[in-house]
Amino acid sequence: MTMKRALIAVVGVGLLVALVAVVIAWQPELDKVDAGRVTDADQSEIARGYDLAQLGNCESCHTAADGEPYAGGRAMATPFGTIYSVNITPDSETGIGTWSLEAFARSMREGVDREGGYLYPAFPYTHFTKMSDADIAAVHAYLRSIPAVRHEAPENDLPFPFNIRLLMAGWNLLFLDEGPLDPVDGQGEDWNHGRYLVESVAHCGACHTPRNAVGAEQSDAALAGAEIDGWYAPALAGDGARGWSAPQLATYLTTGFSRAHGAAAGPMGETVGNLSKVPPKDIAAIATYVASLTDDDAGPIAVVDNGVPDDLAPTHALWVGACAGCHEPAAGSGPGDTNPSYGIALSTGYAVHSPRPLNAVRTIVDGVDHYRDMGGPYMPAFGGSLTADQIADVTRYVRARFSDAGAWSDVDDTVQTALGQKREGDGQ
Amino acid sequence: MSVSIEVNGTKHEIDGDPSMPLLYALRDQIGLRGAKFGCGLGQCGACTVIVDGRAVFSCLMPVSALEGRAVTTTEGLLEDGKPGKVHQAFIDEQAAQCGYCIAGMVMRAQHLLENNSDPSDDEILSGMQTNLCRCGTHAAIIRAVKRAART
Repeated sequence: MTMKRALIAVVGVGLLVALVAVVIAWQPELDKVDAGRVTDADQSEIARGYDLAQLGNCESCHTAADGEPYAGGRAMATPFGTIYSVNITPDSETGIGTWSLEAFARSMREGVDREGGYLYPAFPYTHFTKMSDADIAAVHAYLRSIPAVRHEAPENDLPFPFNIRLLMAGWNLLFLDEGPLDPVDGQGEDWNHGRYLVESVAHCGACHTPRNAVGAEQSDAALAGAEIDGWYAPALAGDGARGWSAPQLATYLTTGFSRAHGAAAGPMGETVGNLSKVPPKDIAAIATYVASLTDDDAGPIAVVDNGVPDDLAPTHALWVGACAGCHEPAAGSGPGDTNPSYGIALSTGYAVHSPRPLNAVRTIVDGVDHYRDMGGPYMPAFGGSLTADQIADVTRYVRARFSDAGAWSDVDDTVQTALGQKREGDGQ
Repeated sequence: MSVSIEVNGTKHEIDGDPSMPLLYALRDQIGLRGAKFGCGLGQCGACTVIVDGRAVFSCLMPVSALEGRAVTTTEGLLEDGKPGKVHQAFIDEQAAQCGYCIAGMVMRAQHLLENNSDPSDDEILSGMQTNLCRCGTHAAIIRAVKRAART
């Protein structure tokens, strides 16, 4: 009987622990407020909320392809399954029209929805928690002012055990550092404002910081560069980072292009489309802070041209016919910081120097597209016109000719993956 | 160097610089003048043709990339020497003003309809967005694509 008693004791203790965990993790449902759109709020607060919503990329994630703005339903592929963004318009049934400021602030600070359910950190509350009360209130005011759209986002497609939301309580204990963020003494107001935006609403680390096995950003590798959606978000700090000057960065963040670094494409192109709506003061602050993260002062950019690689001579015809019209370095051309009508000298572009070929390959396959109503850089897509082998050869050619870093080893696989992820319906 | 390409079902040997754009080979060597030179940078779409089922900018398509691949131009859409379905829809909607962009528009529309026989307005807009018309006849062009989808 001793065995049986021991078993009962173990099961009993286990149940007790589980019960205590559930009690600790349990979050109350918060009261509904008057449903729907609010149009008589303080206009200056709504206007600031709009700015913050652009800084936060809210619309990009909370809008499905061809969907209504902020009505949710965009699929986000994560290593744990597919998560669909939710409707954050003020619709009372399918959106957040019944969320009080208290409920909204709890979602931003603690990752818990109005009903008391845990949210997944695909919603970057680990960053939003660092926002000030006033800024969270402004975003809430803005989201209550936009048109309500009735649209139910699809259910998440997450396998067991990731579909158990309560598990996030444990994840939060480990990885959620509730805010807000305190300024750093001895640094200027501009720098501190930039750090605040980068760490909180702009959530730069969500893409630029590598994640651990359970999807949390690695705090010891903040902004050290990471793969995201088949692109490589470059290092902004640490060993792998290229230096930026603050003016270069401000230009890049609002126009999508810097002579010294290249064009914003993929997820960053979308981000620039949003940042182009943000007041210059906020952009300048972000630029000041991010530029301070590297020692390199982004001095003159060396233009590399090693000439036609011997082993890729046949690829030169592809280069001349498909690429050179825009990218052949012109005699006497130098890197400037203005948005040109022609393409950049590739040796100044990050994609060509990156430790991985992801961005070079994705740019060739997808091209560079305009985002929202801004102009910005454009490059036609070649994913539908060149074959996989041709794309791989051009990628190797560009690396060998315009960078002194060694050859990439995984070009062919990267091309196959990129062709599989290729955007459909536009470009070539 | 010589490259063998198939255009509208006929094999052609293209001689000369392998980096020569397909557009030049079509117009200057094969004598098909439908595709037009617009910008030469893949930004306007006047040179659009179909290669292996994909609409491409022939100004950015070196002939060396085309060995053994099949090209279709606007001339290839003729039916017994008469306007094909998409051509006729453009004529019926009077979708050309100066006409310079139209061969490219027709090929982009052909590609769209080959992949989607009943496109929505949004799908037509996104499917045609790489092709520009400086005269501003886009509304008539979109009507023509819809008409072609119905016929």
